[in-house]
Amino acid sequence: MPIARSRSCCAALTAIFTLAVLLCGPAGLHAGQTIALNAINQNTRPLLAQLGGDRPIDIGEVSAEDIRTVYSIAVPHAHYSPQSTKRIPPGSISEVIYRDLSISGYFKPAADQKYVQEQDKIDQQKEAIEFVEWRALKADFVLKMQYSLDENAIGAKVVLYETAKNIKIFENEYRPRKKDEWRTLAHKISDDVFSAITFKRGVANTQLVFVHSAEPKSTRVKEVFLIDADGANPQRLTRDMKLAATPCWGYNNEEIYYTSDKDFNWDLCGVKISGGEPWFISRQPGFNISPNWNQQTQRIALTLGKDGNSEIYLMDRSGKKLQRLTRHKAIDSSPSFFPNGRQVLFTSNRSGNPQIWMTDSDGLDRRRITFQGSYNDGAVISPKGDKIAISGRSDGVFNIYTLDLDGRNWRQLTGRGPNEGNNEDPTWAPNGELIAFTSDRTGSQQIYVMNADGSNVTRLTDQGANHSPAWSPFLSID
Amino acid sequence: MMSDRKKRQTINPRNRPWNGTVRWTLAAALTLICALSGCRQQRQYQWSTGEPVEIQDQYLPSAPGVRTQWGLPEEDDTEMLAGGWNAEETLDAQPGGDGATLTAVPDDPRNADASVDTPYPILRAPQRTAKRQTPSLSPVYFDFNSASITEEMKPALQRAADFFKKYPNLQVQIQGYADSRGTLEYNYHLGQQRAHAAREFLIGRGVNPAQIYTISYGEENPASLEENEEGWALNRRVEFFIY
Repeated sequence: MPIARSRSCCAALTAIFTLAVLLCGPAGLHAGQTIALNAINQNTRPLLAQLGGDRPIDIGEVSAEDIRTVYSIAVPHAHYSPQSTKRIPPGSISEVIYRDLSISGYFKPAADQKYVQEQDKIDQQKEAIEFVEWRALKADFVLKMQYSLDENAIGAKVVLYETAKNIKIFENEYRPRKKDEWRTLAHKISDDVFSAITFKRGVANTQLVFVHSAEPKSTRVKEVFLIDADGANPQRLTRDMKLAATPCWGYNNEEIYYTSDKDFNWDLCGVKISGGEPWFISRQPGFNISPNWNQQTQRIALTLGKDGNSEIYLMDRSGKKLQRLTRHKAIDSSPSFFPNGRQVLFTSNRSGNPQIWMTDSDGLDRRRITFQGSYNDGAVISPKGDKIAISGRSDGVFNIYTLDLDGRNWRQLTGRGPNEGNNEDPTWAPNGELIAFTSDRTGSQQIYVMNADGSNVTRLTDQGANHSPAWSPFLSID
Repeated sequence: MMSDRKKRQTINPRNRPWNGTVRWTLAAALTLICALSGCRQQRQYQWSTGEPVEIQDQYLPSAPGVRTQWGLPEEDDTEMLAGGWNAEETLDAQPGGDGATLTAVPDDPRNADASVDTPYPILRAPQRTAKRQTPSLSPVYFDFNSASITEEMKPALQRAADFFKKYPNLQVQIQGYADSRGTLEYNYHLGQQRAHAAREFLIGRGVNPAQIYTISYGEENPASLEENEEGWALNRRVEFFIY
């Protein structure tokens, strides 16, 4: 028996030795290193970055906007039929559609509305559309609308023309809905026009949640608010009269999860979009903060402080099942799911300062993503799962950047012009075309939206101070 | 941080001539380590069971899905190998949703590295406002983006420690704060780290852990609204409140 054992021992030792030789070869070590250093082409990475050090944010030469066609569209005010005295102010629906389409990043108004109205009048008299004249007004597309409006309901018939081809490219009749839902109707028309021309899905009928405080500075009351994607229709969701933080969209887009200190601890709460009292989801001692919901896996990723420092956990929506993802004495915070729920991005200062990391949702395969800049936080992945948006600090100012999953191809979206302040909290529109964020460029924190390439910035909020926006998924609004 | 960089440096392939003696020495060393660790495990097996064990078993993962530690830098002590959702910790919510508590977490050997967690349980703060700040306890100010206790902070913290040891019935809330430079979310955690560092210091100096609660308000409720070095320095602080 001893001989047999020593023989098998010998065989094992030889095997290990061979393995060790392989491992110690450059290729073997490279393979081991990638666990820590990410799947980065090491030949092209500067040495400092490989060592885990932080180099200044290097944007390269990318600064031009995406090459995209911006279509010009004319939206004459709607005609009402039958004539009703209880009108929605003329032009208000056109205005909403103009705003939706210009926020979308692919449209601009063709001409001054005065000329659009004049031409529309001529069309009406001739009972035909004069494509030549519309082309002269530089309108690529013309949207003609007719509303049916009675005491309580508003419906619409719309026709979209492409002037270059002299054709009707889209036509639809919208069912009557309650009159105070006319904005929803306008957003629906905007999204249909957007899809008919760009073949992408529009986000005019989506919403954002965010944290609002009545006073710009030094406040002890912050509440969760909801607005439409065009900044209209603000609704207050919480009345806790305490500090609220980090709202996110939850189960079936019907619930919002957020953090409040109303019970003298940072607890995770839920509140229905449709209203009602908030409830507690997680009341662990310390932080229950930065929730991020994944519908596919029905999990909340969040940061808990019960272990003495901030660690990432997964939780079900009852708050009763927990799975720990990180275990490190450094801060681990701000988790954000990949669309499939299988990976989680998070911020960790385990390298000495906050950087973006990712982990599998089983807590394995942890790796660092950002090696540029000395302070990166708030990572969110695009709906397609191909780009990460973060807020990073450079020269003492925070700006929004996008980068690839391998940590390369940085692009600065904000702060390319002067006086754009600090820009934080990026959140993707569900179609991946837009990013909303917080900026203090006007002196107080407000929510803005821009194209995912940084162009076409539109301000969404103007009351008090507002931050931490979270864009909804596509909402099924009939 | 620095040691992190240094360690990475030593294993960086571009810094080393991987051919020749270094490679072979390392290989031999690694073999030795493997062999030794294998032998030790083997002996344990024998002592515990008294049965001879097949050597190959030593090198198989102990359970499906568990990764071996090959090539992982030693300082990466973050391996969270708790077996996924099935090995979950279950929370028992008490009636009324009040004070959910953890039931005993199964002692998973793969979770062995729990040293990063505080040995003193974090307590849920009492449900009332901690108001009175004792005049003898001044705030303790921290360096930028840091939660480490420096020598200058120690006298103030020591005063606090002496105070709470003198009055063991007092319940104290340590509130952590950060300056406004930084993201809102991360500043919450930085403030918590500061409060926690102060807590650990007090416990180390003999204060009863059950006396101390912590909370962080990040960059909320600043002590100074000035957006300059002086203002920021005043905001990077922990404050002591008494219930």
